[in-house]
Amino acid sequence: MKTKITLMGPLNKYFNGTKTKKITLSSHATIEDLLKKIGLPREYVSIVAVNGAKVSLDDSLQNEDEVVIYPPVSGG
Amino acid sequence: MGLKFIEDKCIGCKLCHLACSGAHEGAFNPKLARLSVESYYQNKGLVIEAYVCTLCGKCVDACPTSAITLKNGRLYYEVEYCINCGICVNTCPEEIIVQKEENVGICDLCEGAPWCVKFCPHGALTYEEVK
Amino acid sequence: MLGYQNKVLRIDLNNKANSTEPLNMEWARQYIGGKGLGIKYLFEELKPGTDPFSPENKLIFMAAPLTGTTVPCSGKLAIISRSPATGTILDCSIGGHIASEIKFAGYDAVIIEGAVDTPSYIYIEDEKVEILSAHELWGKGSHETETTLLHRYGKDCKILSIGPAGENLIPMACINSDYYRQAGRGGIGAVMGSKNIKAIVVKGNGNVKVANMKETLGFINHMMHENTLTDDNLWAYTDGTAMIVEMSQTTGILPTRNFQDGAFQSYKNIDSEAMKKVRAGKKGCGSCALGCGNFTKIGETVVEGPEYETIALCASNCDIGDLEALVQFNSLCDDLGLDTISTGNTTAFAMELTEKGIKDFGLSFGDIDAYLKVPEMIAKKQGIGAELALGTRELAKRYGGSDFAMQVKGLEFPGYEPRGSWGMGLAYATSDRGACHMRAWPVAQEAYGDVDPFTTEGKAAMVIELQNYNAVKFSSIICDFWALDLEVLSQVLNAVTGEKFTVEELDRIGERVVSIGRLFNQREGFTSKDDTLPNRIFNDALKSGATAGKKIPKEDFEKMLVQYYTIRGWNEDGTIGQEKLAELQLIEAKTAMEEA
Repeated sequence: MKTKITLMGPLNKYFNGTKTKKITLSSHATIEDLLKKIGLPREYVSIVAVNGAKVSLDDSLQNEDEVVIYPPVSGG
Repeated sequence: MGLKFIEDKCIGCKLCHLACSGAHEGAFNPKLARLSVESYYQNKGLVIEAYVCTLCGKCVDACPTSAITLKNGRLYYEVEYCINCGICVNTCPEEIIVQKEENVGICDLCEGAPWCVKFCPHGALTYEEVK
Repeated sequence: MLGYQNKVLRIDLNNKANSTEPLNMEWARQYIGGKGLGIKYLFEELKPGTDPFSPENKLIFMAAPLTGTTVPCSGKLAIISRSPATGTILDCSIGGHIASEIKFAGYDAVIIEGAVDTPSYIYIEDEKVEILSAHELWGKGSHETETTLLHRYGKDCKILSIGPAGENLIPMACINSDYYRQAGRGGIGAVMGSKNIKAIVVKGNGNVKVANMKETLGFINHMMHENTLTDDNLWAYTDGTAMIVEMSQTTGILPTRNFQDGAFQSYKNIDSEAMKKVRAGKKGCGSCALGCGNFTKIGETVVEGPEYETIALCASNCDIGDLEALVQFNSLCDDLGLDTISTGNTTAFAMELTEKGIKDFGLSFGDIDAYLKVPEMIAKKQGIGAELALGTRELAKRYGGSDFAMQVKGLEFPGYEPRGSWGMGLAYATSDRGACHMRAWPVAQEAYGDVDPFTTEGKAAMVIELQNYNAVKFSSIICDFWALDLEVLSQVLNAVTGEKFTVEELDRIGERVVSIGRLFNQREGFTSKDDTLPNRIFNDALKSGATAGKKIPKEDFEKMLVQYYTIRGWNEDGTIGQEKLAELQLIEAKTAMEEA
């Protein structure tokens, strides 16, 4: 299935500087599978949002899903 | 090999000043650094000015006692020959030779591993081949 | 201990005199510096019941052993006083380059006592201290003040200043430095104004010494690359706090229309993407490895920021989805010397009072023209500003609406909706200076993390751990944005000072710092009845987005509060008992209280 992945903040280094990329995943892939495919360590992920809503790592993705991955932040 | 400054990576943190003074003077004091990087506001804009040793050699030529020499791609300062005349301080076109009470402070590129470069967090200062 | 200058500068404005004394090193071992040591000094030296605007109140500028070194993210200054807005202990934190300069001038702290009777400023250059007339600066904005003083004394000096808001004793007045950095909350700028001090100029020519310089340089450098410049901290460099807009919007905790909602329909106009389009530069504080400050330019208006708190309280909270209007509002607040959090929050409250027909301030959500007039009116007490300047609690006392005056103890809520992050509600209620996100920030674990935001389970213990952690961090002085753990903090402190702080000791120091702040408040008469939240949080459900339908049932809030006191080992009424005081070595403080 095809998904659109956006890596926020410093995480775009995992896409070599591009912020958003289309990624093909096997059907029923979870967020955790996606992270493994990108090579993004769990410790550098805070919120994962799919189509604007926060999800957990074992949630599955669907075709055409838009995913935004945020790094940890402190304060505001 | 020499110091190079890239303005758009500078965040004006002054870690370079502190690392330099720490390494050479054994204490943190930005006024004792042998480089100058300033980021300041002026007329609603951000101005960044940086001066580093360019190995121009003018201090070497000006020093009356040859306390400063240039070899192996860097400056050497032999304090035993220094008479603290201050001529090098006034000669340096970058104005980065430090005038101290009894002698001066010269950028010696930290003998090949500049501390300012080590502490620059985002690569505004680098140490690389310069013509 | 190294890192310290071992010297406090005490300025007696009543007699226009000054003196120096050794830093109390016994206290420094227990409180380190910054927030903790500053509160300790104020607790010991201030008589209970002191009016924050009286000459008897003190203004303490406290650095720390790490200040003025190459320790990354160490260049902040703690400013401590009694708050005019709340009457509680007040410690603020300001960035820029002033903290390091105070150390280079030879001091760990500057304590300002008394008041002068005409507008003045203070000039400090190493041992030289002068109190000079500021009559030509009084009434001017902070920016013009700073420019004038930089011209007079040279670009290498660092300046603290107040704007007209501080001069007019507005309880939401801030202290500025380096043009765009603020010590924001609780009316700290008004305390400076009450002493008739317009600015403090510092020039330092001296040294800061640490233990084993060569080794320490290598160790700190290694720590910077391995632990600071990592993907859990670099959000501050790449985006700055604006990224938190998207995060709050996604999780439904972005304050909208005076905290009526947690999601804002126009958030895309004010998020990190929108900010990047108008970014004109980057500037960090002294010794900062991250450089969170982004310079924004729209038309003729320039500002550093807007930071997340400003965006949350002055844009979405006021239903202003216009970036240019927000930047202008931010710029006005900076120059006038106003806390954007309290100013935005109070403006939104006045908007709701107007719309509900309770009191017509001529403001409404989304009305840009009226909104842009507010900062100047507040700073100069003109028109509706004379009343808005009082803040939400006082406005509610006068006209009603206390259920939705979003404040605790008289300090306005910052940018996180507690109904979407219940631990944050407990944090606001139990913070030492009123509603504050800088004491504990459970948002990271709850809304932005794995912990269920909508339960009471484990929240008291979480808030306590986070409060202790921030307390010791802000006493060592490391900036909020370097998420180092206590193990790394102990290594950094030990490298610089030559001491051997353990992780357990640092946690105990954190607890001690929180407790002495609590004791200060207790002495001023605060009890558990003040540890509460406005009824909107208990009664009104959020309307849209990820937190639609959410509120915190009052019994759940009270459950968290009881657990908080229990785990802290405090009494049921929120006061600290004898045994706990002894354990924290606060017993001599309690005796001083009883003798007072």
